[in-house]
Amino acid sequence: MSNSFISQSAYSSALRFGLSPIKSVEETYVDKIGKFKLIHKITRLVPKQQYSYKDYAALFYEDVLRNISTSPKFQEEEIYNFLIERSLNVLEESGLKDRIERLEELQKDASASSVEEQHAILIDMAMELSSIISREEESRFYAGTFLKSSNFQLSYFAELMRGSQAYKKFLNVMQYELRILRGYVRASIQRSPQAAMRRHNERRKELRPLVDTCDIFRVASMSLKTYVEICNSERVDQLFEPKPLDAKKLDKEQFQRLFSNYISKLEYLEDKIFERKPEIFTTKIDFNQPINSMWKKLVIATATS
Amino acid sequence: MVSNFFGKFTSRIERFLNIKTKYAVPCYISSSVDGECEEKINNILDFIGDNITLLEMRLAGEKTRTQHEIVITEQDIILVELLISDLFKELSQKAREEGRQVPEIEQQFLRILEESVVDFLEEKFKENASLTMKELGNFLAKCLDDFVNIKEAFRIQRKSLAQKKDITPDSRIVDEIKKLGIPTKDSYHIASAIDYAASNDFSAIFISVDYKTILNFREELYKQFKFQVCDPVYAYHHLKNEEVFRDLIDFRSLSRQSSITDYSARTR
Repeated sequence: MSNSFISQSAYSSALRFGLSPIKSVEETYVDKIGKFKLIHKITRLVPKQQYSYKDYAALFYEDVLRNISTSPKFQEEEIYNFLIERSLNVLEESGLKDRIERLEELQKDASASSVEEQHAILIDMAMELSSIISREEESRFYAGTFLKSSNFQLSYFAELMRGSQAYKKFLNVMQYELRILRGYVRASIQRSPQAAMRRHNERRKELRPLVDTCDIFRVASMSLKTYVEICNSERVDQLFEPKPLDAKKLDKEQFQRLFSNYISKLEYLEDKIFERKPEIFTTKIDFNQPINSMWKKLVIATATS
Repeated sequence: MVSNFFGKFTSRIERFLNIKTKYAVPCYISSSVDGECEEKINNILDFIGDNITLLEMRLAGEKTRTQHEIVITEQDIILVELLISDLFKELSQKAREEGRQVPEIEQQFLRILEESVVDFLEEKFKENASLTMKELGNFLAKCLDDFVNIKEAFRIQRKSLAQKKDITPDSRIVDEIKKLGIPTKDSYHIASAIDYAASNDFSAIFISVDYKTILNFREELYKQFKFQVCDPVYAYHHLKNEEVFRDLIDFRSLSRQSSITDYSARTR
């Protein structure tokens, strides 16, 4: 999966690119230096219309690297160019390039048929992205990475898996919403164009906060993973290649800052998804299942200690 | 909250929840309590991760050293027994070296984990006579998967029960509570509630099922901070009759003082 990580990221970026234009996003994070708190505020002003996929990928990786303090190991520009290049290569390899180019063309045309086609492409992308890896494969991947790594805690990988599951839920919501949006567009083509397009535009606007929240989460997630990769690579071309990871190679404070930022963005994303579609969350646990039963015994042992 | 989710003290919490629903009582959870719940659950996962890593490594080592094999069969459950027994011994040894008693909780964790590993392997041997070394990794993957699910369900339940509040309590209150003999973390939780209630100017009750470090100090806490802590069973009565609680505490203090005076007079 490590190899396909960049693929997934490119897929996610492609989907994000098609979902809505980007706007300014303000981020705040706090660094603790001894007794002092350093509050960083970043406002990202990004183009709202007529931007290409390449523009989006460039902005995404700029944000990712901006979150990471300069690494003494590699030049930031070298990392940036490598990630962008890999991301664009993936588009070619996965056959996404044609669809991106089509999306870029369609975005210039505001007609209902163009919007309908955009939705069809985005629904396909969201479905493909959801099925790249099953939940079972994912838990095996993270458990395997943990077993091969040194000095990491399993809870770190659990949080990464939780993030990945939250992203799948986001895709679920997007598929659902895009189908509704497509329905409005179809109705506008067949019956009352103005009313249906108005409903379409309103609903699409409503989606905007969730898409932005997911964007911020993806940046936080990619920053954390890229940081761990940088610290565990000897050369830039080893980034996101399979390798054993060692937590001792990380700067504790920097890692903790990125990890806390990741967790807060993840929780915010989960909350936003929950507001929109609570039924896709797990609410009941069958404690008669063997491993769940083990969990119950373990937690109760703690609670009564 | 953790106890309730995992089915402990359910009847007590249910009783409180009925009151909460009936009277629309607002409930809050401080960031410190939420953080401690999270930390407790994560620590268990880390314990599992560390021990399964050791077990997997040693099992692979033993298999290749003694049997030159990298598959495991049902007979290897005996080897698993010995390897887990080593983990128990190491726990005790580590505690001795650090000059402390063997932590009962970790031993209990290991026992629970051991039973679960053996159950898992036995189930797998029903399907296949020999397993690869990856099987312990699969066990860990299942633990991880279920953990992520449990955590998700727990968060949702927490949200339905109480609203999370980010509170940084006044350190002077924390220190005063600690002086009563309450551990630091619990002092921080109680101080968060006191602080939040005071700054929002409402009456609040801190609910807990922890007698040892919280509820046993209810009288001292009320005397010093005019703040009520109680078991969920009594929450309704505390909400309704704070003045009764106040009078009883005053009365008990006075009668204790007089009984101490009586006792001193008698023993003089």
